[in-house]
Amino acid sequence: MDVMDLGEVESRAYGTRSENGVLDIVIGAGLLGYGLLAHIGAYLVPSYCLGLALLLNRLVVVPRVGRVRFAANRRARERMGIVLIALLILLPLPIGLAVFFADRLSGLTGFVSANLTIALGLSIALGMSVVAWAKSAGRFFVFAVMALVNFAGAQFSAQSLPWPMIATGAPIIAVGIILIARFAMKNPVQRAEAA
Amino acid sequence: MAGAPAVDGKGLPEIDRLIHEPSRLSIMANLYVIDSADFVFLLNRTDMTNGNLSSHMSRLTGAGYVEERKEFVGRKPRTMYKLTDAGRKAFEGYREAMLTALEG
Repeated sequence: MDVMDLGEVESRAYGTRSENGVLDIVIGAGLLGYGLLAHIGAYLVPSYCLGLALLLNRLVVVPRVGRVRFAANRRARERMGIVLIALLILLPLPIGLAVFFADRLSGLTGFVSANLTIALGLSIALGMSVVAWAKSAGRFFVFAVMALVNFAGAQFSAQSLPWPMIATGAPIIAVGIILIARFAMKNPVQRAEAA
Repeated sequence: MAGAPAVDGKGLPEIDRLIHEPSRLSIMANLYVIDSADFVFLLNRTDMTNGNLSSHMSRLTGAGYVEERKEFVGRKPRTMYKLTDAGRKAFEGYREAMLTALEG
């Protein structure tokens, strides 16, 4: 028997920072942004996502739940998650460049070129799974499956790339908005530290 | 973990009464599992009032279990709290003592 389940205390404390919907909104907005701005300015998406994350954190999260620095093992897990996601983004880059610049497509580059939509969906689904693991947020596994289904559907029905991005990003952003609204209602900003 | 807990006259392990109080136990448990947190975070995690939390934090910092760092963010004061090594050991000792008392 344990006198006090410290794992439970930690995950509840962590939940106040991970169950606020900010990450959902940022990831959803990212996918939606890439889908909507694919032809005019997709390069702006990372900066507006970062800005959105900082803004929501500053205006909604910190005034309600305060500041916290988690223990080393939790931070290590988050860092590992960021590294894995960076690898997922960076590893396909040489393949993508090879696809664009190769004179003759063959082997892996030819395969990726022929199945670009589903390859991208797989990459996004893996990224979501890493987020689910790093943030202990099971709903991202559901988002991963949804991304895979949307991108596979687009591949087989020969839809253009923006559509599965929009179809994946829109529900994720909707979930994020519901979560952040619930979070804001549950944690009002009436309590501040006395000077 | 701390060594075997000391035993009182009735054969029960000695319990650290400073930690044993439910509100302070909640503060100690939260600070034990995280690295550091500010006053607002602890308010939310413990569901106490400003005054209550202030007074419990004073007792814990006074006992050397918690260290506080005051800073200003713009014009707003912010106090960060972190368990000291002594506080960490005391909390581990308290858990051990409770386990011994309850399990025999």
